[in-house]
Amino acid sequence: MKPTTLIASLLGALSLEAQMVSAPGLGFLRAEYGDTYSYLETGYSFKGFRTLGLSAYSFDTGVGPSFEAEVASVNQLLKRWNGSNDQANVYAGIGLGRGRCGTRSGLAAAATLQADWEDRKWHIMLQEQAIFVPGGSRLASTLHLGWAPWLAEYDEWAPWVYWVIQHDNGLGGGVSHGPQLVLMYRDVLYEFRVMRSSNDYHAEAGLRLLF
Amino acid sequence: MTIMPKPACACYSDFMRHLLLSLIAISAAFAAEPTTTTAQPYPLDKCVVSDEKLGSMGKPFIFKHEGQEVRLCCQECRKEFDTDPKKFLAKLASKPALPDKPSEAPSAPQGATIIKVLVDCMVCNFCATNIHKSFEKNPAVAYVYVNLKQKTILLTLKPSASVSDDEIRTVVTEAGFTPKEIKRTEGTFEKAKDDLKKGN
Repeated sequence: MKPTTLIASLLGALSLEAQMVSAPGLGFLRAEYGDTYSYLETGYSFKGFRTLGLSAYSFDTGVGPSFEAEVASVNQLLKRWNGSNDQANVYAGIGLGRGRCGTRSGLAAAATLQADWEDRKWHIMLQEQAIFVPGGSRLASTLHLGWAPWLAEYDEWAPWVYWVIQHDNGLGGGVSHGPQLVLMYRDVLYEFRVMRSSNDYHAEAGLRLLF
Repeated sequence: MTIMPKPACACYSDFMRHLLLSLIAISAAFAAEPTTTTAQPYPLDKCVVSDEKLGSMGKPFIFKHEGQEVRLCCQECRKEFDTDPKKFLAKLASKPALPDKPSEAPSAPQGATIIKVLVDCMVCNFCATNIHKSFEKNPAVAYVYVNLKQKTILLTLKPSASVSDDEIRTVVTEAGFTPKEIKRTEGTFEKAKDDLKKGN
């Protein structure tokens, strides 16, 4: 890995893969690692629900060339609906940076649109995402359907069970889906999933921290 | 079932795997020890130099000296403090410590004003973290407790500190949630927490 990639990874952020969250006045760190992709993001949310950050992203299905990008980004909560017991959000994000696809490298651009709804028992999230680098692009639609087996308190471990479905129009292509377990405790979230694509399985793990 | 690893680049992939494992270890430590104290908290409700009540001269001037938080009524008192810090620190040493940072410490003060804030749409841990940390940053707040089931935040304030209902609404709104009701009662923080857990 190039030193610049390492530095960008450590500095860290855009919501390229994971769910966008806006917590004004707080910083966050996200990391995911899987057989076919890895992802690191860090950033800070300002008043007005605008989040700035850096991310590093690597993707390789084994079909076609590998794909890497380091992107500086801005995400914005466009609209939030606060119900008595539920909440819905629409986010958008754009980013610019450097990317590589196979042997080509150059300017990378990313755009994300996300909508979600949740109450204490159910969570639905749809994310549309596009990443462009010289020589390739990735256009992915991701649906997360989540259910909490029991309602935990803030100072208890809160489990969520998800089914994740992803359609990737770019490199690697095709539909993948699988179960995901999420464990939240106060300001930490762990996630584990196994995604099945057309001909194999991919294990992925991640975490998020708010600070 | 077979899992077929196909890393894009071995060094990048290894780096991310090690990084993730390290972060999991670090985050586990975060989860186990959610609050930390970086300095001895200031134990008085008045300026240690002038004896004026904190807040009577505007916003208190706060700084740390050799691991001790010091609160003065104004910046002018800093000059006098610096002439003989030991003399003033000795005044603090004889007083019981009050919390430096808002937390859910079990030894919350007895007989304090308890503020109950009912908040709509607080649905998950990250919502709770968001609000919890927002109130933690308020220098007037001594303790914070969030109960998701009751959609309620409990606050108690540091001695001589005050927070208006409007300030509380602003904190909740800026965190992205809707404040519904604010109630103030006298009592102990622990009892208020227990009552909330029991659904009272």
